[in-house]
Amino acid sequence: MKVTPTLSTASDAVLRGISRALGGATWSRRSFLVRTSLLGSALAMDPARFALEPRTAYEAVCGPEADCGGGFTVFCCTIQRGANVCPEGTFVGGFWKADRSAFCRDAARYYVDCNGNAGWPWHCHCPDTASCDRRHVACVQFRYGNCNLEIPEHYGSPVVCRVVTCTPPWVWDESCTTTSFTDQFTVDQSAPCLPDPWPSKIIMQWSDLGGPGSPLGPQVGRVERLPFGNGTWATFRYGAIFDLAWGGVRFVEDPVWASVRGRTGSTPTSIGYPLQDRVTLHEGDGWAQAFGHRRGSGVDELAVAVGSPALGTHVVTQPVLSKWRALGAQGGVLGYPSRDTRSTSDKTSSYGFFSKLAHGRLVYRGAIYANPVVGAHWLRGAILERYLELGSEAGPLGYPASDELHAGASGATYNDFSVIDSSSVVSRGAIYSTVKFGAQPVYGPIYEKWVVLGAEHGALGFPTAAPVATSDGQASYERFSPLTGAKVRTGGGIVTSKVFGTHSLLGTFYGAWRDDEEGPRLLGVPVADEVDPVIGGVALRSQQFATGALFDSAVGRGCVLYGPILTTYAQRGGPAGSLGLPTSSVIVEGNGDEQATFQFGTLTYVPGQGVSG
Amino acid sequence: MTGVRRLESHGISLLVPVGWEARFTGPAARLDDGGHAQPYLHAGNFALPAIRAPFGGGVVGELAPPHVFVALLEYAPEGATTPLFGSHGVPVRLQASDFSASTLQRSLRGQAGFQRFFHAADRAFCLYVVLGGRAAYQRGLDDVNALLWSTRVHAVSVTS
Repeated sequence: MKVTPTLSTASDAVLRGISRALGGATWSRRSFLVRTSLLGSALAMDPARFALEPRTAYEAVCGPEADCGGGFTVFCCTIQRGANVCPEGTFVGGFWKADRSAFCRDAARYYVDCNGNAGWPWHCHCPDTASCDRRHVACVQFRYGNCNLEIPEHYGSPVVCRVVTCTPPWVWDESCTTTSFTDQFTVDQSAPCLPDPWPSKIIMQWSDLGGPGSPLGPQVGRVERLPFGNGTWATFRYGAIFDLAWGGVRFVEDPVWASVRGRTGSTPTSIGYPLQDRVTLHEGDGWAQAFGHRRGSGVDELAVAVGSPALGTHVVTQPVLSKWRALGAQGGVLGYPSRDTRSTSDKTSSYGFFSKLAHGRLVYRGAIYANPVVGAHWLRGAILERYLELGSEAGPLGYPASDELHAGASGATYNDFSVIDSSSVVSRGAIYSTVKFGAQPVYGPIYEKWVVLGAEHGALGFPTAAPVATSDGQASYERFSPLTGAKVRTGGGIVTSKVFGTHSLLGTFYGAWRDDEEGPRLLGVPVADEVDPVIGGVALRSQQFATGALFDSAVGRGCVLYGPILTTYAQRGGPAGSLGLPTSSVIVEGNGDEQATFQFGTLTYVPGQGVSG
Repeated sequence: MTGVRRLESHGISLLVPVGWEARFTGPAARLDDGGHAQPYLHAGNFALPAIRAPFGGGVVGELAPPHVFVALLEYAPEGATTPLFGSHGVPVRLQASDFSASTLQRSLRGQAGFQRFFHAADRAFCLYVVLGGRAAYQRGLDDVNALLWSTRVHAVSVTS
């Protein structure tokens, strides 16, 4: 990147690092050729007021050989209402320089010839101008020959006018070589539309960029001291130039300016001052410009305005910025920013949104959330969309507590989340994304229970849907399943209630409970996890619920016991008692009697008479 | 300025006509601004002023018949293969019709100029000749052609 010589070596190194981090190249003027759309706006200005700097005696400005017969070519700004750029229909034919020019603060001043394109109706004439720069237009057929070497000499057409710059032409225009000719005889030639001798660095830079024909447009504010910080600045229709005592001369143009104006400066809420000129980014034809403050011998980068044609320009601030950089910035997993970095609703954190594009189309959205307790983490795609549906940081998941991670299964990913209260984590959660089940959240007590059971690697597998409330609203539950499908004791669900705690339902027990929950509701919520004893040589699965129990064995599949029969069965020792294992669920007879069978007997409940058997 | 004399510098040799003065300026050098100055030859059938710009600044303002000014300027050798320097060899046999009042770095009444970019020995050059006036130009033009005919460019790198 190009660094203004006034920068300290340390700052220089830091800024080079910033540019490298952005993966870009310093923005260049690209060409001395006119940018037609911008020039149009410049031409709408009062031609006498292109620059607001004080002017010296008018006629004295132009220097020697300023008349049409003097043999020299007019300055482009004279015939273009101030625009110090080559006119449309010209190419940069070459340049020479004059050393120790007062117009460039004792540095070299470069005179760039704008040669007419073949086929354009350029004709030799004296300019119709009130300016003292009455040098001729398009009268000499001459090439300096150090720019646009790919254009043959006989393509040539006359030198229409001259652009002047204090920046070496090969810096601004890639078509120019470094072959340089010095001609001190032209050192005093100038025009009223060019800066006076010893201009401010800001005006010098603006003129180099093209003056009113530059991307910055006409000057709209005088060069003034910065309201905060050591330096000066001036505003232009489409941007500003800063001359920072610690950072050199930097310019900010639209669209970056439109996104940062009002935010530059040294106040606590500002993003500082430009640390570099705009850089072009290799990915997606984007651009970026870093802002910050001097800190010690280096700079403290506070923000970067990053833009792309598809997404516009957005300001990414710390600490989201550092995280985005670590992810590869615009070339990384998140792509370009799609919103400015903002504060979260609780004002404790910040977040930024990004969009990953491919061939101009959105692949997925991404985000970085930065919280002082859990740090800065990124999420994207289906997980992000689910997170937003659930209320993002104000929802039950709180803040992302991990980056996106692989879940160990093909295509499965997840982010961890934490609800933060003051400075501590009060609950945890996650969103898992699978092709089979989509992005599903798990949080709070259900999450903690699921983690104890081995999370996605345990018997339950992956969450298949968001948690839902039971029909009585006293509990909530969530279904899980391995990606390969649930079996007798895999997959299932977790139910949590304030009264009975949080318990899992494995395999077929979840289905049985769910059928009951959505139907007769005989079981109620689980009050314990499944117990799997071996009774009399028979393996038994059993689980207690608030108002019932489930038993499953080779002698009785999915037996549901509840009410007086379950109470009596328990009083008689349950599976280890005299009745043995259940062999049927409670069956309600047509007359209202209830009956259940067991290995070694039957229990019958007759309403009003109690249980017998 | 008596007698034909041989001049050689920067990989270029030539015979300077009687009554002519010729001087090389060089060598190639890297400049503080990152640019590169290249060597050049100035020749004229008059006393060359001490301070001259590469394309005749400081010279052509005083040029009048029968004066002739010749500038042979070298460019970075990378240019030798570009279309601008596509002509091969030092131009010779210049005729009055090759000159134009508009082919001038600075157009001054009565003067006429010739400019040609070319490559020779893998080096890139520009020949720029200014006639002080149409009057009595033929002798000067003959001398220019003699000078150019004698000019040899050698394949040496002169860039820094």
